[in-house]
Amino acid sequence: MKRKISIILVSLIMLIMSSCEGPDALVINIVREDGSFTRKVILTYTKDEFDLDNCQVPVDSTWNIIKEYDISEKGDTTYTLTAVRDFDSVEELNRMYDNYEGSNKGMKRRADFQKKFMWFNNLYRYTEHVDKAMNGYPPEDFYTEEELVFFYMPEKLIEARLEKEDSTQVKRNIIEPMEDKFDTWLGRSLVKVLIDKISDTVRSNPAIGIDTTLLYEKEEEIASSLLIISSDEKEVLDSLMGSGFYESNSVLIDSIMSDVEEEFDVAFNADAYLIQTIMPGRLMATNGFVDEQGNVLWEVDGDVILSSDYDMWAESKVRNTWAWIITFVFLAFVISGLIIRVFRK
Amino acid sequence: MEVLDKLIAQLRKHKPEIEYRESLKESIMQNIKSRKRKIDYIFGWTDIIWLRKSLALASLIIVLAFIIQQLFVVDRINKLEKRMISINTEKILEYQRENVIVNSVIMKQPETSLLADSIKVSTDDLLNLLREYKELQYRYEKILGSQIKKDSNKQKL
Repeated sequence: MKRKISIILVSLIMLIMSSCEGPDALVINIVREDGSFTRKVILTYTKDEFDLDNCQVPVDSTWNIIKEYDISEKGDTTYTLTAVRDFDSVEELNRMYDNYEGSNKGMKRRADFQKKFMWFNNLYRYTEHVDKAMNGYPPEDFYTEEELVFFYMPEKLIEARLEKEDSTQVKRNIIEPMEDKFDTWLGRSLVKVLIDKISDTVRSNPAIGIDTTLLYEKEEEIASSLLIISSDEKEVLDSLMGSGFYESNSVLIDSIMSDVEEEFDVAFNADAYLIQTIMPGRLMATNGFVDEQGNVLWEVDGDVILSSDYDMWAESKVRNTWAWIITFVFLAFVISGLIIRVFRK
Repeated sequence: MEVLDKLIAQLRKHKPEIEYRESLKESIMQNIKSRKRKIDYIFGWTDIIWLRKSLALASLIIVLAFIIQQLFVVDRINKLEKRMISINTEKILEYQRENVIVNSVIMKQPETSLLADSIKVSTDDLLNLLREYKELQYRYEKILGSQIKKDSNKQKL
């Protein structure tokens, strides 16, 4: 029993532990106008031990692999493995995602490329999508717009942001309230998933005598009670739903708890990584962060995929010079015709 | 000069007659007209009302489409400015190198790490603490190194 409650408690330090084991990964996509792209995976580690089968993203020995090492001023040695591969289309990558068995195998990922002809320009859109781990509350329900920027911001960027002059203010007004909200969001999401699953089971099997309306009413209380370290599910549920509630439904609750735990594991065990995308032409819009070189950056970690689908997209445009010339010639022809007509009159 | 004057005088006497005066005149007029006709041919559509109106409307639509598309692009690019951050690939990789070193310090003694403790520490604070620790260790080793050097120099003396 305590093990299940502990998933909530342990998750509170999920942020801290998320990237503690194994190499750090940076994935770079260089997208071209025809939909082909080059994917570069850069792994950094303190040991010369890279297990490609267990990498955050699909990589195998068929990729072009280069290994380097670096000794810092302080004498620390880090090893870098760079794996590069050209893809003809996103379908090739999606096939790799389908067959992937590495550390993030629980994640359902998809890449997409779209080209739109807009006469004057061609628009390109590249997307990497990760399905949510569970049907909890989306972070938008708990965080403000300003906080959401930091929620999706890669850890490295938050650190860089906190080195600026107004760091104390940012920490006090954004980071700290976010940390407080994180507990509530996580607790409420887990309890919501649990109640949803109980409700579904009861709906399909009316013989189970559980008042799901009452469960929904008590959702907030259950969540806050479970967040107390010393709490026990049996005590919490009995006190809120009536004595003997847990005993009479323990089999159902236990099996549903296991399901929730399994879903939660996808986010909890997520091996974080960074994705950088270089788009063809001029970058126009994105939901990522644009670095000094005009590349787009996102971080995939357990938080961002916990209870809402994560779409990492970038749009760019390339000017159609021939369309501009044709348009100019046509307009010049029509306008001069009209002008000549006016003079002739 | 005299010869020239004589020639002019002779010509005056025998006025040259243009044989096909009318046809010449006509051909000159034709040439002038054909230039005009070419322009008429190219821009003849301006006399056809429906064609004139359609082409004018098409031009207007194209201009409007161009303006709207450009405004759309400019608006999106302006919004993009909010997502700009001062970091580059090299800095990210540098940070990753630093990060794996810090993580290796945590993982060296997992039993004394966070899971055995009930204190909640933010990621940034923890990483800062570990960086400071590494910096301190580096300085300590540097001092220790210079001390050993001094000692060995003393011994040499």
